Amino acid sequence: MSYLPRKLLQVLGSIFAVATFNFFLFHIIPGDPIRLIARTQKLDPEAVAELRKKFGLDGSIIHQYLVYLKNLAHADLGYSFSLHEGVGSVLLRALGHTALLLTVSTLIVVIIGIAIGVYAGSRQGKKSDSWIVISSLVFWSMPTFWVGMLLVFVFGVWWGGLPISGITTPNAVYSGSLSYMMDIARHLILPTLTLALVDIAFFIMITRTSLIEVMHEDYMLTARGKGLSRKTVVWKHGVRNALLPVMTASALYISALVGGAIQVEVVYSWPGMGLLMYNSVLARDYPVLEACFLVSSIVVLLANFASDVLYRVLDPRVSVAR
Amino acid sequence: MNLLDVRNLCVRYGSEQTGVLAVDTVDLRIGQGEFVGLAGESGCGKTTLAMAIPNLLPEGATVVSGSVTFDGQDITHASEETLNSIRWKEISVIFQGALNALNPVKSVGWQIAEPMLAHDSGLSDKDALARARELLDAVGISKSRSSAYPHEFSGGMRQRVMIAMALACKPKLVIADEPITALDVMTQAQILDLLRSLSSSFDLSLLLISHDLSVLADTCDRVQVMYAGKAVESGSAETIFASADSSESAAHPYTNRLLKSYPNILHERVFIDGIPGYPPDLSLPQTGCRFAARCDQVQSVCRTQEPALIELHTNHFVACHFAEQVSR
Repeated sequence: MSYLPRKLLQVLGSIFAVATFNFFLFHIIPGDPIRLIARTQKLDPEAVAELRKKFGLDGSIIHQYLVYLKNLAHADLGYSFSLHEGVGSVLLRALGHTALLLTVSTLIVVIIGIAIGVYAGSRQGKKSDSWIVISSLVFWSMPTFWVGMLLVFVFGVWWGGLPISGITTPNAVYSGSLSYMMDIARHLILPTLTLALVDIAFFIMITRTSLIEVMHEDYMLTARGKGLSRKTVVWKHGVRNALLPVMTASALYISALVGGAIQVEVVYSWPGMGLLMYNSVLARDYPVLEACFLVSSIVVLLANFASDVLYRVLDPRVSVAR
Repeated sequence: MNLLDVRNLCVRYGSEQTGVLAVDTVDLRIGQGEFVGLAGESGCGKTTLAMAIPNLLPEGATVVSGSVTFDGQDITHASEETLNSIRWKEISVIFQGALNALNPVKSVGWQIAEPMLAHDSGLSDKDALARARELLDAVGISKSRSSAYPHEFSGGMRQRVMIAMALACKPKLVIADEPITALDVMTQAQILDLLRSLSSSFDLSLLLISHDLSVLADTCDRVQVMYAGKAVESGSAETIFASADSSESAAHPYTNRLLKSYPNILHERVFIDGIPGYPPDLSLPQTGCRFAARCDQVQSVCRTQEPALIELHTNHFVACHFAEQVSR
């Protein structure tokens, strides 16, 4: 079988395995969703049975699993216990908000991280390199939620110039779509800055290490011997080779972020996937959790699939090695 | 006038206090169209000397003293910009181990065309690529393979690509640093033939570095032998490779032992005895002749006094106290 169909089949198989695993995982978590919906211990057994039936929690777990699979095949993700809304629409809304946050912060982190990493890597051992490494490690070692709270304090409370919660100003009236977008952009600044400050070190360090390794390769001496300028040697010959591992790291990073922006979304009340998952765990909202994890897994698989395909384009050696 | 004139060159790795003089007061001259061989065992400083010419020394290595004059221009301490205009355009290098000297993610055609484009701003990409294909053809690789990547070639073919690349800008001097070391014997002979014929047809000078004297024997006009950072002997190939009973032949004991370290397939089978021992540790101060510890004809003066490089015959230089009576 040729490469693409075989790879796609692997992705589909993985998605099925993940869906199965997720289903059983959440039913193992202790706690009864019905109790949490009722918010009281004194509910008569008939009403409990009624609620169980309504949310499809009445059959055996195998029966529930089969129903889940059947619904999944019909693209029906179920009904949220806590939000009283179809999971599909809840998820879509949250996914949109997370996608906005992640696209902006990933672009910033990857582009600036690679640029700084190349700068440091091509000046290994110099003062500027040492400072970049030290400050990267300092930010890298800070907990994301703590940096978030620090920024809330400095920019939101002390200075007070930037919004610290939500995606839009509550009850705001907009003069047009431009002012609406500006409002969202202002709300994006602090969550993005938090993610960037902490995560940029990841890309700086990987790019730097990878470039340092490449700089010692024989073909770099060849490039220098050809009389090319230092900039050409570093970028055309060095970075082109050094970026291969960075690309794999980017795929891993995007995968980690889909669920990993939880801390930032909770600190800034950003109504995305992270916040949704956080609230759903508290409410034992199985359908939402299952759907969230399924979507996260699909993003992880797709990101890795994309990096695999891209790798074959960027590294001619891979296509032969299969 | 010589094309290349290296005088009293000293290259040091590391700091002034703890560093090692890898090349210690060495001269090297290459005339227009001349093929010069540089021989010596690993670590004797031959690659360092060669890389000092276009100043491609690794970080931590510095030219301490001496001068490099190329085509009448002193380039010892030339700016990076000046050097970049000379590198590949005038002096190109066939690097040690071409297996890794080619960029794995660029097509070989592109890599051959790259220096042409860098040194000739008037050249179009298309013309450069066309010339790269001509060069591939000249080294015996089908033109159609210019879009292939290095990993798709065998070791010998990669070395051919490297040679094509070195000739791309029609340089005046090509430095070939152990160009055939990693190849099998059949391929070695082919690559050597190719290098020789192309160097003649491109009318260039060649500095061929090898630890194997027999490689230099039928390629070079002149041979210089190095030992522990010093030039110990230099002379015409006829002199160095002359049989011991001729009027003029290799005079330094080290050269003679080196000559005996390789079998000659045309002659009788002889015992290959090699040279026992190791070169001296250059991080320690040196007194006397550096070869004294391994020399089978050593005398007391050898251990205390360093022999000067003297002109034994016209253009035949030897650094040995007993150059005139060394028994071979």
